[in-house]
Amino acid sequence: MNKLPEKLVKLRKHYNYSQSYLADTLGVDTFEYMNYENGSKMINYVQMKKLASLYHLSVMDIFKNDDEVTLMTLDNTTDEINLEYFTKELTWFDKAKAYISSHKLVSGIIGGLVLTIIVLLIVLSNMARPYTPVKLNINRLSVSETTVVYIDENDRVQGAGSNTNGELSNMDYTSPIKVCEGEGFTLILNEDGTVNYMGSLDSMAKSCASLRNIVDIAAGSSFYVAVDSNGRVFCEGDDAACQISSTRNIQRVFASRNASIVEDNDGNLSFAGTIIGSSSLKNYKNIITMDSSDELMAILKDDGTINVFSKSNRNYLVAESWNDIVDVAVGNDFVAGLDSYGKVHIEIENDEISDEVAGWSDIIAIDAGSDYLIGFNGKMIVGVGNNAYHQFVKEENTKTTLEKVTSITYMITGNSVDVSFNGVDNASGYLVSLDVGTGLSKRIEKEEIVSFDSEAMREGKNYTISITSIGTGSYKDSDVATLSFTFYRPSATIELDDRLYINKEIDTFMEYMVSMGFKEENIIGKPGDEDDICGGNVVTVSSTSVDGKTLNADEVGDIVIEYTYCKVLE
Amino acid sequence: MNKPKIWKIKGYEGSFSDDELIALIRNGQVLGSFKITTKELKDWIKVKDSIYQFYIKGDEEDETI
Repeated sequence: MNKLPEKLVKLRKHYNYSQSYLADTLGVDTFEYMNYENGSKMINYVQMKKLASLYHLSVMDIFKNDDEVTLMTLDNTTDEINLEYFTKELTWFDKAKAYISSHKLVSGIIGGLVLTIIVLLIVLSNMARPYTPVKLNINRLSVSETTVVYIDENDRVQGAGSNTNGELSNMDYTSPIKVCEGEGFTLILNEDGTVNYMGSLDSMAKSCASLRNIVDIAAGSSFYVAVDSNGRVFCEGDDAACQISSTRNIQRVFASRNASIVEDNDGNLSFAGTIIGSSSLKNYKNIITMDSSDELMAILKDDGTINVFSKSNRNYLVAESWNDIVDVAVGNDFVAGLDSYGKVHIEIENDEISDEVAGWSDIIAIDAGSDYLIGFNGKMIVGVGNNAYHQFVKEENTKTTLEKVTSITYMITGNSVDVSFNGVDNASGYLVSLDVGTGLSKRIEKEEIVSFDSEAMREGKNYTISITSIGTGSYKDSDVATLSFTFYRPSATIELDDRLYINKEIDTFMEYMVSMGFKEENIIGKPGDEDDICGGNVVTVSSTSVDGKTLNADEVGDIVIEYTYCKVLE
Repeated sequence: MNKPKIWKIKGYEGSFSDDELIALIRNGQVLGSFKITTKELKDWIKVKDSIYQFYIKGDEEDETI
């Protein structure tokens, strides 16, 4: 089990850092950092070193897969401390007590003085505690039934659609990090924790003007819900949606049309108001995001897959099989998912719309009204569906379709199928798939060999490689190019074994294998430790030839073989 | 630009970059029982005891000799 996520969360909370601060420190965006904390991605070695430096730890403390580290104590000495201790919220008294306890101090004058100083330091540090809004691409776009609002690449808020209530009026925002559309109003969360309101409701305008240190905000049809850096929830508008029972220790908020949903510091959800799938909300933890309409509700889980709840109990099987999803949007009769490569998937019974959405690329956020879908690429929006309020500009279908890739070839090695091909001009990348269950589609930026794990493949079965050239700018994606083949697994039939490899030293073995036509770089060894005592002193080949096929010298050379080597003791 | 080759794998000659090590773990050529280190780590550690166990294939048979 990967224990890094637990370690990262505990360390961050112990040092009171925000996810966005750590993301900046590691040179990634906040969403990427969140993936480290939810365990869907792994940090690299350079990031390990940065974290070790930031947290005053050794690189081994970060690299070792456990949750115990050596923390810097208050006087800059180090003590072995189990991070479990820090999972609960520590009061100033707990911290002082921990300090005294760890140094075997007793109460008295010295202890009292130390305690007083510590209390003062903690009080001062709490006063200076920065609020921590999270910058996420998916927060840069918001859609209502009549309007689309987004934050462009220059951090300016842009909007289109109906302005009946002044919801798209000019506004005095500072540095916007999130936009929220209600019906007839717009909210903008600024980096400094203030909130701007645009609309015609004086009570909501006044309420928003009083908000400070807000870290997250969401809008329903006629209400907003917000949370500040101390985990306190604020709600204004719809009475039912604002009857929130959990208003402390909250870290994020969501909203459907008629319900507010809050997430506590442990990732648990609770709600007020009415929402489809409400009885299931308590089963989810640490979700990425959610979206809902009058007919559907979708939850994007931290593993990048989504669950869809339907008022009419319709199954959304395709949507639920997507993976690597980073944003989700639902209308009344469709579900859309944005993957980490910027492609939008949609489940809808309308081929024209699904074809049009398939042509979108480099999208960073999606959102939907009841009957239209919007994608945002960081600079401009694209949309499909009902455009009655001119929420988006219909793009004329003038793009040129890219050519298909050519010369697809494959090579079966010990544990993978390696695919290569000739690319085309003007493609921004390629989507390469092998029809072996889910998760075997890979997006690459340029023409290169793509390896698929062959573990799940079956002997003698036909498989198809599918490759699409990804378009951008004035080019549409190509049609898919395919190549089918029959799979045979390189097996462990070792004719060579009996003839040479028992009781032979490694050099002899290597020389022989090369003389048999194997390439030296394809001979992968697993030597034992120096002090290992190996029962038979053997060199054992675990994989060489391909069953049922006669191989020429070149083919033999391309087979990756693995061997196990134990030192000869004599 | 080539990434620095910082990793040593016990029993392997030469050094490996972070990406190369991860690829070796991913494709099963470096097993969980293999020991790895870098200058900063100062000691050997088995892959399966490190956070890079993340890259080990779920069905790896961790055979040792």
